[in-house]
Amino acid sequence: MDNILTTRDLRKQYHKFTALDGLSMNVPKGAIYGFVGRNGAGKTTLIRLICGLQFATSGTFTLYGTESTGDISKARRRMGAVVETPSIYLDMTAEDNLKEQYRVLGMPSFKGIPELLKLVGLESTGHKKARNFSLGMRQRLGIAIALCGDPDFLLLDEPINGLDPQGIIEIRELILKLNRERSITVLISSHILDELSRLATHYGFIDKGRIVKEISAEQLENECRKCARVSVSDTKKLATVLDGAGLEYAVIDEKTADIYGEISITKLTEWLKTAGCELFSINEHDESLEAYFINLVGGGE
Amino acid sequence: MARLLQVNFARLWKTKTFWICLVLAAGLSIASFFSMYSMRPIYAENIGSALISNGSSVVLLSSILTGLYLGTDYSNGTIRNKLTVGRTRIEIYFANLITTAAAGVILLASTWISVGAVGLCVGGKLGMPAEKLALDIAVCICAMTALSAIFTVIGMLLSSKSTIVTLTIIAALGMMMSGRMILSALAEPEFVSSVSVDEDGNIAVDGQEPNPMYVSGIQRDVITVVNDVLPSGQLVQVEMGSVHNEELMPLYSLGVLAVSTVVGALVFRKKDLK
Repeated sequence: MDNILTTRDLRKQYHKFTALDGLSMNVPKGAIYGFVGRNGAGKTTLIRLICGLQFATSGTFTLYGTESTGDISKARRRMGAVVETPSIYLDMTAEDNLKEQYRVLGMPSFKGIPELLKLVGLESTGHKKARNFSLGMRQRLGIAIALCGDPDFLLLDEPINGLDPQGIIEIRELILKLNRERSITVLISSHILDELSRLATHYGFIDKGRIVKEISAEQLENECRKCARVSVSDTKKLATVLDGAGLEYAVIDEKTADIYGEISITKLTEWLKTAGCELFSINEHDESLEAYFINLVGGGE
Repeated sequence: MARLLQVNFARLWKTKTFWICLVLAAGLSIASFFSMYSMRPIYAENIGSALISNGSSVVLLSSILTGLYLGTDYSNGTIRNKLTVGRTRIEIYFANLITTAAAGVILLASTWISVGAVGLCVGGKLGMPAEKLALDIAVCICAMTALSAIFTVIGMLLSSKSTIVTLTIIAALGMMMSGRMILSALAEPEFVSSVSVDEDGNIAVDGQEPNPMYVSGIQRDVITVVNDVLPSGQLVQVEMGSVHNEELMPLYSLGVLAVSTVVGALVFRKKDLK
């Protein structure tokens, strides 16, 4: 079994709104699968279907080789998820929350709880109730709950939304640790693309309820266009020069622009001098995941 | 399902609202007993009636507890933790029903134990045959379970904690009030005495005339059946000591429990959760 999760032509209709429109995707075993899409593209809807919170209007998915139309409950026992906000009892401590989940799973003892708390960095929370936790701590507790059954597939829906920089780093390190040390396959949805690009080994780009492209991080790197990021005194004059030279470019702000394709720095310097535009710096730059995504789904809509 | 019951009861013991409701149920029943006892010390001669006279307050407390207990699973999102790891919706529904019904019966039992204890302390007597008291208690338990099933339907089919709590309270108040109104309408006499006062202020009874408030015919039959079938009506009848068809009441409660559970479970099975 190469793929942990495969979906085929999944559709989900809410009255007149189509949230998923024939979505087909594959999450390879051992991957950190970055699920990228705009708000309302259908990311959370897909996660809800996989978790059994909602039902597909049509189409199927396969989890660990089990069809969604079959005995999917058993396959779900090997999975953990944090959907939107972390699902925790706010009037309980971190330990009591984990005990509740251990009971749900029918675990014979609570002896794994201290290790789990340590793994997510909540071992010193003691009698503190979850309602007094920071957002990052709640998120980590949510992940700890998802890890209770020792799953080999973790679904994380926007896990870094609203976190401070420190919280983002902690969650990133935790996800990497789970993937590398415990070989847990992770499907992570996010629109913080810069952060996702530090984690994901595979990507699925979703738009209007359909997968637009699935690609590995390695392939993505190869496909991302190289460009030269230039800093100039006036990007309007730069644009005139580049238009004249027939070069593709993207203006980032009044003083910065990306120029795609092969360019001669000597010629560019000459042209800019003639146009009365000063060149401050020039660096080789890779197209970002964000730019790749915008190119893929169209940024203007 | 045994695992989910274990989870639910472990959470119930940790829920402050449960303990507050338990203390309130016991406290209110003791207060009610002493208020009656202070007015009429002979009240202690009939502890049996006192034991079963607190159904209405327990129903209200049970509606609040059920609403908060089930609503918390939605507001905290913890119902997702059960579904995500493969617990079925039917298991979840039945485990919640059993837990809330058990909580309701525990609240009822707290009133029996507390009234029984203070009744014994003041040297009271049962004042009714033990068999009759046992039947009254059985009717109360079955009615409480059926009411919990109705509150569970509300709690499982709505997803907002505040809406759930509001609707369970409204349902409890509505059902208990309608039970009392029906009972008082049925208690109206068929005829009332017609009285006249002459110029000197002397009162004379002229005879009997039909009572306009009296409910008769098919209407009377229908509301009698409704009050017997509805668990709230049963509790009110037991509370007021004017029960008829008592042997059938547990069966009626069982019917209400079955219908509400089947409808609730079937709708919950297909409900989209967030």
